[in-house]
Amino acid sequence: MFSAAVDDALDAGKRSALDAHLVGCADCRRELDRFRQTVALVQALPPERAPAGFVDRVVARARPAPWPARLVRGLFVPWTKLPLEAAAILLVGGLAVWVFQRTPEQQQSAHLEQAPPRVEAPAHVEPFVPPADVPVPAAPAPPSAAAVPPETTPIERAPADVRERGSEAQAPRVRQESREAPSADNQAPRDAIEKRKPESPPQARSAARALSAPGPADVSGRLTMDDPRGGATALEDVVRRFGGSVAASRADGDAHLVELTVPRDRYPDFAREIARLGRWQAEADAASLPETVRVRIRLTR
Amino acid sequence: MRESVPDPPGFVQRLRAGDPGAFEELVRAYQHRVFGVAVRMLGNAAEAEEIAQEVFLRVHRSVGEFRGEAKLSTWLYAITSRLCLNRLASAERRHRRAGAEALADVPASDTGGGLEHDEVETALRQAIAALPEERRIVVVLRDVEGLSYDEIATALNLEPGTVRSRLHRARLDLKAKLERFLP
Repeated sequence: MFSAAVDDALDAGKRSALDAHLVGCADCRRELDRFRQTVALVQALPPERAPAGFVDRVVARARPAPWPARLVRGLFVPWTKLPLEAAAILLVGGLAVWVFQRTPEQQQSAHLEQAPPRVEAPAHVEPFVPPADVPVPAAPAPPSAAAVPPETTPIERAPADVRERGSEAQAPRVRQESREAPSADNQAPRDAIEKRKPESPPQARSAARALSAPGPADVSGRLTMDDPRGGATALEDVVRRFGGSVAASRADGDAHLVELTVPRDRYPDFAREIARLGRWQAEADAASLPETVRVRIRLTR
Repeated sequence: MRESVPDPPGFVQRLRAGDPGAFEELVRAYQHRVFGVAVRMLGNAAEAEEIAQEVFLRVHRSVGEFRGEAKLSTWLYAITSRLCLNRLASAERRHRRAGAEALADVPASDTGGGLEHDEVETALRQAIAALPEERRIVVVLRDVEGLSYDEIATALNLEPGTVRSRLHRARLDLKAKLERFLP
């Protein structure tokens, strides 16, 4: 009540009651007096003054920086906040992409590695169906068709646990899809490479693809003749006549080794023709040959 | 104790419109009040100027959000009080300074009152500095800056009863410390 009394904040009733008490109580009169003096001392403190130049300093800080400084700050400050490691990773990654894009050999190599060894025509890809013996837990409701991006494959839409269980069966299928439906991002540079390559007959391109893939020849045989080296030259002429191409031709001691490809529909005639060059012994089943037949012939005396 | 003055008419509108002249007028008019509260709360002139500058910069940035329901001066005192209390609550500052020593380096204004007056003023400053922070801010706003109970309640976001209670306890603390100077 003393505080309110000192501040004249008592209502009339309380003020009268206090005055009535103070008339008969010397201690309270003395205490109130000392209380009032204390407050008076505080209120008599001289006001503090801000230091000289305060206004100028505040106004200068509040003034917007010149636009070039703001521009520089906006452009570079976020970059300087990036950790050095992140910047280094970005730099190395960018360099790798740049080198890859500037080196056609790298792109061609990657292209050939991705090319399917046998599959020439795109095969229809069936949606993944989990094996009957694999128990499939209750999966969350699949997203609606509208919520699924159009490029999403059925495999991608399957629940995660199902994808994990069927990963072994799906792995080749996923790779096949990636070959058949290249993304727009990597298709463009690949097309550019194709355009830069010199034009070549379809058979030759097919043969190059066939030989680049690892694996044994579809047909291997022995051609016995008097002059294997001269016979190799004659053999190469025959190959070209039947629309094929020679992939490799090299001496192997007294013998000569020729690796070649011919189209499957020309192979029977090709075989008959080379039988005229010498004694031809081959093991092949014409019904199971691929579209481009890889042939390895050993010419011996 | 300072006199409480109303805001000049149209002044808030000029500030909101981004008038640089109005902002400078504001700083010029309130610099000593804001600095005074800060230095009595923090007890360090350099720290007080830092806080006072920050108060005006915040006003400059956010004057568009000021709705004008309270006086501009009350808004300034509210920002100043909050920044000072936050600074006092920071662990770094608590570690650096002890409350009783807080006002030791604040230069007292020379009022030409002689040795005894200087002694009383020094004792009073030290007594204020030794008050708990939540009481100190109330007594500074009321007895030094002259705010009403309601203005203090608004600035500190407290109930008026809490303001009265803290003010009374603060004054009792000061009286106890200044007994020897009282007749």
